[in-house]
Amino acid sequence: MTFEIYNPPSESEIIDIHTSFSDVGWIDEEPVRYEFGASTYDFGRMFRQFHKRETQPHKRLDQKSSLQKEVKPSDAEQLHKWIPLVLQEQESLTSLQLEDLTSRAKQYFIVVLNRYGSTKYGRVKAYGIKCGDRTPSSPSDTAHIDLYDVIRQEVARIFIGTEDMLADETEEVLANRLSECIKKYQGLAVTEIQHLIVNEEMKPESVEAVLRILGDIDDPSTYKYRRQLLEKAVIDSSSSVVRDAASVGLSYMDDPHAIPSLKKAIEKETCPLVRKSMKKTFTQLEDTEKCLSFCGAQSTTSG
Amino acid sequence: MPHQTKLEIRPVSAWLTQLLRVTAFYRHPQEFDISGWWEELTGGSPEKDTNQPKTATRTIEGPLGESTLVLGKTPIIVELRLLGSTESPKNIDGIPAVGGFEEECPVFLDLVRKLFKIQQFPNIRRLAFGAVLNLSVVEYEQAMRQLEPYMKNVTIDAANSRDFLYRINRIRPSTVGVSGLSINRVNVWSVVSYQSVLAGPGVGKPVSSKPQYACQLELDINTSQDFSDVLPTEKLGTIFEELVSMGTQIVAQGDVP
Repeated sequence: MTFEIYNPPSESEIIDIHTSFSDVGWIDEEPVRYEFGASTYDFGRMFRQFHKRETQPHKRLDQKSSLQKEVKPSDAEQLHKWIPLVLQEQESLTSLQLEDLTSRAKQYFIVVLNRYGSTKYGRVKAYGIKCGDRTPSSPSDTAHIDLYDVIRQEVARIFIGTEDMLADETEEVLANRLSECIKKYQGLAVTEIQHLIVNEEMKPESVEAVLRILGDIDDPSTYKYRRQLLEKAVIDSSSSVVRDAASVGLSYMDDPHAIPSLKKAIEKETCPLVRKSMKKTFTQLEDTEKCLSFCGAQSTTSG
Repeated sequence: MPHQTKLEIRPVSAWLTQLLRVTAFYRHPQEFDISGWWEELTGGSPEKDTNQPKTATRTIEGPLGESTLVLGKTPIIVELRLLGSTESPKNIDGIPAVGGFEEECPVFLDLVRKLFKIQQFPNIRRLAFGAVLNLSVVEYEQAMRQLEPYMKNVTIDAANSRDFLYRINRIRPSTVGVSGLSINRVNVWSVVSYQSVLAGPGVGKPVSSKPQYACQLELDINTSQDFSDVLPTEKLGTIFEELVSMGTQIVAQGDVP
């Protein structure tokens, strides 16, 4: 079971989280009671199921924990973990306006309060929908557009017809299509490509080309996501071809931030040829780092 | 079982607006930038301009009167939403609301007309008018009974039913002179409850309010997904007015075939 998070902040950040749940009709549906400070809150059937399956609430509710967490609100797993912790935190609760989520039959919501100040606090809302309860989006529905559905089709189109081309030609076509897709769909496209690679739904030869191209695309807005994908692939991929291609992709990026990942990958690497290639990239990035710090020092002394 | 008087359809003025939206699906490939649009629409300055490269989304939002106006762009749509303020959400009788539907709808319509006139506004292939409206009622059972006159073909056993949800799409041809254009008239009826909790340092024990029940109508009136041409730019305003008019008819008369 996963949450779909709407309106997530763009960056990972420290936030204060407050949650509350509402479930239409819960009053007559075996309400579940949780002690929360001096008060008792009732939650609906769905929330109880969610707790039972995912978080073992009774164990977690006994724990004391600070509410301050590093948050990647796009990461649904994290929210799952925090909810029980939030429930027992009385002191930092603030005024909440409970709003309804138009998520079809079963409804609940999470309200995330962000940038909590002494007198004023902004708010970021992360709305959750239990996927199993959500009516599948129909073509007549414009309120719940699944962008990933669109991206899936778009990314699949990148590879259409490339099987029949010569290798050089294939790479050029792939590079153009991939670059266009990433500029248009940004992180969504990178996420989908990562999904295809991780789940091995892409041919290794395509992956090899894609990873190299990803390192070479000129698109600052997706730079971080592409680098993260390459770092993940260089460490975690079960295919030596993919790990090697990721290493080449990282060499194209020439970003010293990838040094720790590359170091880890070298330590893990069992294929001598791939390790050799990784070491080459590693040396290149170290040189770049030295060069950058030298340039930085030069500009400081001259400036 | 005691006899209960049948409830009548309530006037349009009784419906409260929680959200109004226009969603415009643009044709590819089109490069355009929504910078400056929010200012052009409102004459003011937005409070937040958020770029989310991970989701390829940009949202620009700020206060408009007591409401919040959110302008958004994703790789497939441009959207304008009018909803409650995030800083101090307004509620009417315990129900989150921007204001009455009758009052807010014309205001929103004006904004949408302005949006369509923006010079950089892209070519559109599909247009939608969305709304989330609430009708305040005293208790759950009353909400269920109140829904009955809005759905003439549905019998609700109000005393013994819960989790009511009725969703239907009544398709109609458009009458604004765009050949082959049909309109999806999706209306979703349900019963919802709202409750507020007041707690925090200095407040003492958290205090929660009594649940406030409401009949909820979610409208999604949109041009058909099967229409593959570009909608004529000069007719966007008229098409949107038609969508709003169809939505208003549902608010006034219920699920009309």
